[in-house]
Amino acid sequence: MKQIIIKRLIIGLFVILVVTMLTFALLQLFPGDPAKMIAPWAGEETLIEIRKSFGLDSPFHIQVLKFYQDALKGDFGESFFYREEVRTLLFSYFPRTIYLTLGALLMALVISIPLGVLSALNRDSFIDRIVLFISITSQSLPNFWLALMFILFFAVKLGLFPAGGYGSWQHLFLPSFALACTLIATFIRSIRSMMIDVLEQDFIKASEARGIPRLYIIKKGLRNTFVPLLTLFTMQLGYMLGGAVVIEFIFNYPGIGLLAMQAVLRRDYPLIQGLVVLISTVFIILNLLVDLSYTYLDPRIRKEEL
Amino acid sequence: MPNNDQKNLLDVKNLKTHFFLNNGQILRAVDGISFSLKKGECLGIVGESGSGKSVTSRSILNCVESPGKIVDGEILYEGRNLLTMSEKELRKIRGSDISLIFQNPTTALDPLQKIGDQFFETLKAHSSYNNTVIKEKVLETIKSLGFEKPEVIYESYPCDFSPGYIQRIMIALAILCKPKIVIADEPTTTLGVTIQSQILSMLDRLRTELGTSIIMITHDFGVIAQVSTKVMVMYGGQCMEYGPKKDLFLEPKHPYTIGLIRSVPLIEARTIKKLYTIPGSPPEMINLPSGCVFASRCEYVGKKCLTEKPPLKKLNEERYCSCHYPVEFNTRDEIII
Amino acid sequence: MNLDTNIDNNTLLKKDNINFKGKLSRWYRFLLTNKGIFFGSLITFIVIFCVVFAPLVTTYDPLKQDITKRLTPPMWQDGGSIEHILGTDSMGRDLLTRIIYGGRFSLLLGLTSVLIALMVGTLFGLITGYYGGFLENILMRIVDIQLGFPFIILVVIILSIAEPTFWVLSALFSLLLWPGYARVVRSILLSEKSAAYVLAAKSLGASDFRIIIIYIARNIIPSMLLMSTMDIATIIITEAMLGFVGLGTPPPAPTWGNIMADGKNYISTAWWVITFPGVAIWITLFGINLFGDNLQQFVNPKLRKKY
Repeated sequence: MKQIIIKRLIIGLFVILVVTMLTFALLQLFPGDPAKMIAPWAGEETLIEIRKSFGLDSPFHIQVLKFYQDALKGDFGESFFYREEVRTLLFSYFPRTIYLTLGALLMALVISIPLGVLSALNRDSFIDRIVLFISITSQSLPNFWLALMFILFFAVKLGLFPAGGYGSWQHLFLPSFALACTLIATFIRSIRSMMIDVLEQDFIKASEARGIPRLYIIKKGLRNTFVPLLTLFTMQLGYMLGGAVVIEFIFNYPGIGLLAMQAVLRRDYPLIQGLVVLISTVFIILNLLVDLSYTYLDPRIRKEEL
Repeated sequence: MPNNDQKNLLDVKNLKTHFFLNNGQILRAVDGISFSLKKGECLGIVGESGSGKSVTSRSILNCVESPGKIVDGEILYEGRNLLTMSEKELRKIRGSDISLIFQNPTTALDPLQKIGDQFFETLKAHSSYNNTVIKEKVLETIKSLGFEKPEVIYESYPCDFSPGYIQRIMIALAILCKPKIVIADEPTTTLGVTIQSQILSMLDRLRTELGTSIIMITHDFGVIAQVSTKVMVMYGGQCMEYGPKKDLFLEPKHPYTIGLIRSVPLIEARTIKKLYTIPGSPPEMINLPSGCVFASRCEYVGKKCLTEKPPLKKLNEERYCSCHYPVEFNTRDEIII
Repeated sequence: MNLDTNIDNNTLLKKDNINFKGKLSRWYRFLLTNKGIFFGSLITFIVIFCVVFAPLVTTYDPLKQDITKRLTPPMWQDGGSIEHILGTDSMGRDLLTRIIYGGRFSLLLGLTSVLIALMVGTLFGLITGYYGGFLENILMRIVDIQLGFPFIILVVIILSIAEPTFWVLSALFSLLLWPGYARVVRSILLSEKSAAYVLAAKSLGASDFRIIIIYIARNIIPSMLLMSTMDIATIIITEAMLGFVGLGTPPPAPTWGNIMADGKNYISTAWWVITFPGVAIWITLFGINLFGDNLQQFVNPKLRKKY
C-alpha cells in the first residue's frame, strides 16, 4: 500500500516536472517581448530595468533553474500584470473554482441519480427513452452556448439570477448548472447501465426474495455503483476544467479558469507557471485520493491490498 | 411419514411459467407443475440443467424476472394464493414465511455491506422489534447454527469468508425470521464435498428439530437421497414422476427416472459395470416436441409417445407418473440403497 | 438407439450452422434493427449531405457581406424574408449559409484529427502491446501526463502562439487524442492475446497474422469506431468553444465558434445569430451521440438487451 502511494507520488512529481518544462519551452516560443506586455508604453531603459527585475534578461537555463529553486520553497514569483505574489493570487482565485466545480457536481448528482435509477428500473420503456433523450441532448449541447442561453433567459428575460460576477450563491447557480450539463449526460448513462448491471446480480434477487423493501434495494444498487462513478468523475476532471475556463469567461466569474485565460493572453509568465503547477498537483492528488478511497469504500479491494 | 390428514402447507397447482422472448417465441420453462408440501417434509426437485427447477423456485415466491411470467396455476400458501396477492403482502411472506437459499453463496450477499447489516435489514423488514433487540436476535440466530463468534461475523464483509462458510451463513440468514418453508436452490453445487455434507446435515437438522419444510432443488440424486422425503423429477419444464423418496428410488416407473438413477455412480454396486448414460441431450426448450418431451431419448419409446403428450397419472395415493408405458423396474437388482 | 444418435448429430450440425451464420449476420442485424443506430446515422447522414453539397443547398457565399441587410431576423419574424431563412448576422451575411459552411469545417476537422490520432494510436498501441517493455513504459507515462496536465492551458498557449489554421487545429487535437487510442488498442491486444479462443486457434496452427486479423481486429474495430464517434463530437464542441473565445480560426472564416462569438455581441438584440449555430451543433452531435450510444451497446454486450 505504502509502496503504491510512494510510486504514485514519484510519478506525480515526474509529471509536474515534464509539464512545467513543456510550459517553459512553449513560453519561449511566444512572439513578442513580455517586458513590453508589462509596460507597453515604456522606453528602452525602463524595459531593460523591467527585464532585470523579473529576471528575464538571464539565459533560459538559469531562468528554469531559478524557477524550480523558488518553486520548491513555494514561491512562484510575482505576476507581471497584477503585481502581486502568484501564490496569493492562486489562493484567492482557486477556492472559487472549487465552489463552482462542487456546485456543478452536486447538481449533476441531484439530477442524474433519480433519472438514471428511473430509467434503469423501467428499462426499454417510454420513460427510459425520455431519459436517454435528455442525456444525449445535454451531451450534445455546448456548455458555453447553454450558458449564454441561461443568461438570455434566466438573467436577462426573467431576472432570476445575476448574469455574471461573484458574490452569493445566486452567482454560482447558472455557471454551475451550465458546467453540470456534460457531467449529467455521462452520469445518467453510467448510473443507468451500472444499475441495470447491479440489479441483475444475485444479491439483489436474494434481497428481493427476503422481502426487503424496494427503496432499500435501490439504495443497495446505488451503493454498488458508487465506486465506478467516482472513477468516472476523476476522468471527467480535465473536461470540467476546460469547461470552467469558458464558463468563467462567459459569466465573468473570477476563478482560475478566467485567470488562466487572461494570464495567457497577457503573457503573464509567472502566473501561467503557477497555474500549471497548481492544476497538475490538484489533478494528481485528487486521482491518488480517489484511488485510495476505493480501499475504504470497497472491502474487496481493501482485502486484496492488505 | 407425517400424517396424511394434516393440511398442506404449500399447494402448487398446475403452475405454468413462460418466458416471452424478444423474437416472439415462447419458452415454456415450467409447464404445468403440481406438488404439495406438508410441515416437516422435504421435497427434492431433481432434473438436468434447464429443466425448469430454478424457475419453479422463483415462481413459488412470485418473483420471476421479466420476460418470464406466471401464466397459469395456483400457489396456495396456508390456503392463500400467492399469485393474486399484492406486492406488499407478498413482501411480508418473502423472507419471513418462505425463504430462499441461492446456488452461489459468493454472489448472494451484497459485497459492500456488512453481513450483520444484511441480517439486520431482513429482520427489520419483517418485525417491529427495536434495533437492539433485532441485533440480539441476529446474533442468537447465528449462534444457534454453531458459529463460534457471532459478533465477528456480524462486523465482517462477505469477502472475508470462504464460499462454504458464507453458504452456512446464508442458511442462518434464511432461518432468521423462522420461516415455515426454506427453498434451497442447488445450495451445494458450487461447494466442495465436505462442505456439502455439512450444509445438508444443517438443513436436515432444521427440518427434524424445528419442523421447517424444505424444498431442495438439485441435479444430484445423491443430495436428494440424503435429505428429502419426497421427490419430483422434472424434465423439459414438466413433472415426470412424483412420489415418496423410498418408493420412487426402489421402484421408479418413468424411464427418465430410471435413467437418472442408473447414471449415479455407486460404490456399493454389486457388480462393476460401465456407468449408464442417457443418450442425447436435454431438449431445446423453445421447440418442444408435441408428444412426450422425453420421447427422443427414451429407450422404451412407442408410437403413442411421439404424437400424444402423456398426462400425469395417479399410480396410487402418493405416486404420480407421466408416461404412456410405465416401466416395471426394481433398482434392488442393481444397487443397494 | 442408432436412430437417436443420427438425429442428434443432425441437430448438432444444424446448430453450428445457425451459430456461424448468426455471427456474420449479427452485425447487420444489430445495425439494422437498432432504432438508435438507425436514427443516429440518419441524422448524421443528412448533416453530412448538407455540408458536402453546401453550394447546392444554399446559393449564397458565406463571406459575402451586405451591410444594408444587417441582422435581418429569420423569415417567420417581422422584418424577415424568404431570402434569408434564418436571417443574417452583423455583416449582413446569410446565417444559414454560414452555419452550413461552418459545419463543413467542424466535421472535416473532427474527421481529420480522429483519423490521424486513430492511425498513430493504433500503430503505437499494437507495437507496445506486442513488444511491451520500454515503449510500453513510455506510453504509460504519456498517459499519466495526460491525466495530470491541464490541457486546456496547453491548447490556449499553443493557439496564442501559432496561427490557428485548419491543420494546426487538427494536429493539436490528434496530439491530444492519440494516446487514448493507443491505450485501448494495447489493452484489447493484451487481453485477447491470452484469451482462451486465441490460444485455441494458435494450438490449431493459426498464423499470427490470421489471429490478428480475425480475432483481434474484430474486437478492436467496434471499440475504435465508438471512440472515434465520441471524439469527433468532443472536437466539434471544443472547436466551437475555441472559436467562441477567440482562439479558433480567425473571424471572417465561417466556423460555428466564430458565428457565435459574433452573435454574443448582439445577444439581446438579435437572438438568432447566437441561437442557431447552437441548434446546428445540437442536431449534429445528437445524431453522432445517438449512434455512438447505441454502438456502445454492441461493443459492450453487458448493456445489450437480454434475450
